Amino acid sequence: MRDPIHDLRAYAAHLESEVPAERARARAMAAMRAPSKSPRRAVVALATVGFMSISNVALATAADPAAPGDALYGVDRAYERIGAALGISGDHRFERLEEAVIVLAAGDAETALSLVQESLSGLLDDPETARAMLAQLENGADVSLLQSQVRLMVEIARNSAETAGDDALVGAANGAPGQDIAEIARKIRESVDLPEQAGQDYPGENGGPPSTTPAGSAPGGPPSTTPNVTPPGGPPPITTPGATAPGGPPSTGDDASPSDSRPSKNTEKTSPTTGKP
Amino acid sequence: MGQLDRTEGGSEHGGWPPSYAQIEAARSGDDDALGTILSLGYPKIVSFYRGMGLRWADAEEVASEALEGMVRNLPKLREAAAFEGWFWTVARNRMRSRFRKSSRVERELEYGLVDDPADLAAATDEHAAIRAALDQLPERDRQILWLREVEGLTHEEIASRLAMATGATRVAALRARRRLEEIYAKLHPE
Repeated sequence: MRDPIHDLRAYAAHLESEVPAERARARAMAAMRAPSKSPRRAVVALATVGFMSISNVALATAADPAAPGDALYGVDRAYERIGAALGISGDHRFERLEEAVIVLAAGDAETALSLVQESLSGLLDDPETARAMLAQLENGADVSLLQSQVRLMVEIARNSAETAGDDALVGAANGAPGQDIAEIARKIRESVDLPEQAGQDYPGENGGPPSTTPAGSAPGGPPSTTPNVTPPGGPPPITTPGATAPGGPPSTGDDASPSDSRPSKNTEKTSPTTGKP
Repeated sequence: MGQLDRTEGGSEHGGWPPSYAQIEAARSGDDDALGTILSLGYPKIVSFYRGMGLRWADAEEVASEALEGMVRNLPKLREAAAFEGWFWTVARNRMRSRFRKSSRVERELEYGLVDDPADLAAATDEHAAIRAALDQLPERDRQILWLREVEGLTHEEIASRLAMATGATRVAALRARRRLEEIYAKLHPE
């Protein structure tokens, strides 16, 4: 029998020999002159990039107003994180507060408190903004949403145990988020220099026994009697029902606070939920 | 053909495979070196495609596309020593891409190699026999046999080209050779 491998090699050599050298050279030159990529590929690539960009912008725009529980909320937060990583993200503290209002209206007090906590936490790292915001609060500027909602949430955190009617809310405020919010609020106030009138009324600080906190004093002003935050053992009572009704306007609780019997300037100016006088 | 000592590269006299110096020159942008390599490689690819079942026209067309792919992908070649494996990878990928795009090419493979009168006229009886035997082998066996026995690639090189383990390539090459011999024995019982 003939060796098939021998025949295979002979066949290959035969096939090679049937390609004229001139033709091989011409094909080689043609390949070297060929454009690196076909224009069609470039067009398709550009179209794909354009489509993806438009899709991204559209998705980000659609997701922006999403609140917790919405299908696009995760997308909204993802875009925010990407923006933050790229250093092009804006300030989302107000957005968190708006979301807190929405989820609170839906009865999810725990999530609402977490959102407020997240919003306030950012202020700890940004004393300039914190100072500006607090000053605006004191001056009754058009920061009604922040003013009213922070007050709402901190009041909830402080007085939750005494405001019956919503078990979930009471539970959430008694837990870590509520207490953390009050603590964060206290630290923010201590970390910034406020105008002289600052500290007369500050959300989240009305419930505890008074304590002298030098850090809370405004420069040149009298020592601030910064109350402690809600003690873990239980917040002071609040006498105004409705403060914790989901989505409803809470009482400021000022009258019931043992350490803050004077009327609050901010409370007088605005409604906790509407932000309007 | 095949079984060359590639530790120093290929022929220094313009043969195949190209020398490491030629390959390095081509990688460095020497158009003359690249043109020489492609001119030498073109008949190799056409022969390979013909052995895998493509007709002349298709084999030449796909081979031209393969050369263009090599020009584009030359910067991806890691080192001169990897040239042959890279060369046959590009050639094989181009053929597979063509198969995916064209059912016509695939059908020609399926229906065999010796049904073209022009091909039969061009081939001697000896070649017709090996073509008939090749036609009865699965595609992968055909490729392994060709790369191993005709082009002289190592089992390691073939394994990396075909995404197989080296041991599996050895077994497949041996099995393909035995199958070819069995088919040949039936075609040539004397």
